[in-house]
Amino acid sequence: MKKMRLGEIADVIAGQSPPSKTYNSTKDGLPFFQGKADFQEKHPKIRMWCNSKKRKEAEPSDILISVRAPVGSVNLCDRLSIIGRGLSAIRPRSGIHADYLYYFFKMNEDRVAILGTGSTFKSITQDILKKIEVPVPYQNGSPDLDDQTRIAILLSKVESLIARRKKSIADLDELLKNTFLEMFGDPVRNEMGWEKIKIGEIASIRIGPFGSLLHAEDYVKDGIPLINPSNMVDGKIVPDKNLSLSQEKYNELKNYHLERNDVVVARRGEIGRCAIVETDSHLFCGTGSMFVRITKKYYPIFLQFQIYQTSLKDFLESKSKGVTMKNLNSKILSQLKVLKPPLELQTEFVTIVEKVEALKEKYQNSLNDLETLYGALSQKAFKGELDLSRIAISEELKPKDIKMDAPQVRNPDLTVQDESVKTQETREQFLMSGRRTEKTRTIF
Amino acid sequence: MLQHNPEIKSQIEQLWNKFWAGGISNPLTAIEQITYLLFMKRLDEIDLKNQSDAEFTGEPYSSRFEGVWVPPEHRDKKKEDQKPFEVDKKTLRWSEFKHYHAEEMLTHVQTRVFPFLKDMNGSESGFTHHMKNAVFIIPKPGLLVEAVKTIDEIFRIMEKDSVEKGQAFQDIQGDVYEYLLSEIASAGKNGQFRTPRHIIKLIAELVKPRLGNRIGDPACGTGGFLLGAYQYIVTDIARKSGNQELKPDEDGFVRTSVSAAYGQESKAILDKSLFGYDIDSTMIRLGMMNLMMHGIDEPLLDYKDTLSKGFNEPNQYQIIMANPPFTGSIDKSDINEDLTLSTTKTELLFVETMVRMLRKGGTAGVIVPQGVLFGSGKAFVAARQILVDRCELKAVITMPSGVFKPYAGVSTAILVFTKVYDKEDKVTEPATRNVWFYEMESDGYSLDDRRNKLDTSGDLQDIVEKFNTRDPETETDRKNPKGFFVHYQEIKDENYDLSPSRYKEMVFEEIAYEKPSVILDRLIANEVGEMDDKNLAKVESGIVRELLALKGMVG
Repeated sequence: MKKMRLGEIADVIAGQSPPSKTYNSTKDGLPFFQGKADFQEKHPKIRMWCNSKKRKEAEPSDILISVRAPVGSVNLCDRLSIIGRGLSAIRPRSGIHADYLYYFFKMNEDRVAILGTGSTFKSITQDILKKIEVPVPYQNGSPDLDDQTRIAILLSKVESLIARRKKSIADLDELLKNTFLEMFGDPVRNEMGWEKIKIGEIASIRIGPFGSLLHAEDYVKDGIPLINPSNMVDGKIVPDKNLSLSQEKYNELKNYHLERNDVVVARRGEIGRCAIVETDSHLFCGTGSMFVRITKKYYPIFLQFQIYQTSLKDFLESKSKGVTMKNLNSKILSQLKVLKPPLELQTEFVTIVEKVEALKEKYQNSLNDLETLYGALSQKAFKGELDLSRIAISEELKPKDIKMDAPQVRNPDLTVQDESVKTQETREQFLMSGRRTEKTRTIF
Repeated sequence: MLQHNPEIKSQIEQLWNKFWAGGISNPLTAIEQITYLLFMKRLDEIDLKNQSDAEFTGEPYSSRFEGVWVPPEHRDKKKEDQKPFEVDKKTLRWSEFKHYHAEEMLTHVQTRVFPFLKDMNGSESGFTHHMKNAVFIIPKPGLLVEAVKTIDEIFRIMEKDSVEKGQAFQDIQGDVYEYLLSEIASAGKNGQFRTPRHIIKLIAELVKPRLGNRIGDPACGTGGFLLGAYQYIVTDIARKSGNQELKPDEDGFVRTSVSAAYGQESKAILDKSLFGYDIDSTMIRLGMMNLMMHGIDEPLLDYKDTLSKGFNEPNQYQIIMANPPFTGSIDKSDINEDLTLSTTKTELLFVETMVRMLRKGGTAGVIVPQGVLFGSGKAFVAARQILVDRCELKAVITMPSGVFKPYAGVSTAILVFTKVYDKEDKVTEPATRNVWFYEMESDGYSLDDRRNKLDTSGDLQDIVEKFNTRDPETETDRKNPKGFFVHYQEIKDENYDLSPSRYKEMVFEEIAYEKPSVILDRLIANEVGEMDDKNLAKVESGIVRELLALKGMVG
């Protein structure tokens, strides 16, 4: 391993925004990427095209890095395209593998972000970028392309497993939504004709305490957790022990004690965000929340699912007051009509939800482990602590012989590659790109 | 020191509240009016003291409150026609008019006492020379009466404390005025900020003014830096004379201004050593009062634009301590022709001005906005080149952005440099070999608008200690942003960039991961449960097969 400055191993091309009149969405010209908003997990998404003659181009295998607001995010370019002022293209030189460099910057996004300067928004200069030190596998006085390839293969494998797990989790979410629609239809349109009932008729609703009821001295560490919108993550309650209420204050304000099976709903921010209390531990409703305590025969999970996962969420959004920030008050929620199917059907749905949630949790744990594995392998790989000897470089990833025909004119491929087969193809091409580049330059 | 005197503090709060309630809500305006009242009180006190001294020694004494005084608007009349307008000077004395009724007092002070002060025109005190543009605007009789009473009460308490606690009256008086000034929590109209006093003390520790040094501040405001130098020197004298009562203040600095600590000879030298200039005459008046209240009877402050053609004091100062205005801009045609930087940015022009003012071997400690450290404009680079090539730039100490709250959130830095080459000299070898960098994280106060005192003095004492023991041979660890050296050549190669973030090595806390094989085993077990290797090979599940392939690669 040898630390080399980015300026030694790659060219850094600063993007430049062409005149906005050259932008279009009719696929005229080349794809145009402006900043992090165009980034996806790995490759950028095409949202805009540009037909300007005056432009900065990024090529397949360039690493696109966000250089302003925010700094540090990276994607791997997979087609000839135009880059705007918010991006730079890092183009590996001979002997440097593009995927290897991509994985290095992926691991160091936070560190690069710290190098950004500026008060209104962060940005980073070409000079600073070029000084970033990259550890490069080294052998016989030059970068070792094979070991770079092996590291890229290894990280790519874990990356694809992570993607599969994320898809499994997303699929389970989709399964629940489809199951609900199949069993009950759309709760707003109610095309299946279920009886509907106002939430106020099956539950009592209470808004969290006014801010003036709580003072600075009431907040302590390791007290009774407050449940505010930020403590509701993906439908689950995640308490924060660092911002909690003193026992005295908790005892004093009994009206805001949360109980098992209460549905806590965010009053502001993301409308409809909610979670169910699944513990008997003491919890306290925060100023940013309200809670629904069901008093009739109705499943809390069934209620939560409708508020959070169906068209009712959009309905609530449209009813919320406020210009700067949407606000949900107890009257709106109380008047909200929800489906009231027979209890047996609710029971059936709730059982399915509980099974799927258990499976989802298992997949989430697996995902967490895979991400930990990715972090551990990245760390070891870029410190030169991995034994790479047992990583085979597949035949199809080896450089193909380059014919001595006339050089082929580059033809931009404007088709969006959504199919997994093409994605697979693309990934193989990238893994091969470093070596091919080297060969190409040698020949020419 | 004043925090131990809640009684005076309470009186001062009352004074501020009275001005607020009385219709003067701008603290700058209020402090200006209070200053005029203090000056009236002060003249009376000094005159009475001189009178009693003269009686004691039997020498003849001519009081400034003897005889009659004629307002200027009547002076062109014949002598006999002036007679009806003659004012007995005795009535212009504070101890006389303070007994008047409210209405009478206001009229009297407005039309007689205040004009009398202005009429002195420097003959009695340099302060009055700068009262040409002063305006007495206390609008209500009630406010004036209350203010006069409160000031008298403050002086009475100071006198009592002086007798009971043995603290010099002069010192208490100075603290009182400083406390009054601390109420000014908004920037002056030319972008001046009142520098926090603990930062001034820090800079004094770094540049170490000595008795006999000519000390200057080209943008002195209320005189805080000159006062800081004065107190540093007086403390140094006290320490050398074996004073045992020296204790650190809440910021960790040892400071005394015990007047008895030094003799008349030292005092005479010191009184003639402090020079300040400001473009704002209000600031000059406040600065003069501040220094006077601390025992400097004739402050050498002057109303002058130190960037303009009218200012010409090259090579005269052994010490400069300053915090010049940041956001100013000056008309190009007004710029002093000796300045070489092609810019109208005042923060850069002041840097060159201060270098010019220094004698060779003289040292400056100045505050600049951090943009000066890394700005890439031509003038920014040229200014930094002057600091590094023509001066020995000893230290760059960056400060967090909260230090100047509530004035502004601007990030600032302290530069310490010693002049080596003058403008006419040719640079044969750059004057700087190494620059010492320190990134201050805390100055001992919360970095929000309240600026509450913290339990510690932050980095202040660490900076002083490390600066005094810094050694370019040993301090090469770039991972420690609190004290490291960078060589001249590296700085030059970086376009004279002086920001520590450019040179320091970032230390990232490394995440401790489990061994990859352990994680892989757990992942596989979660998929299929515990199985021996032979049976694992038979599992067809795609995920498991991929995990096994990974295990084969990683081991």
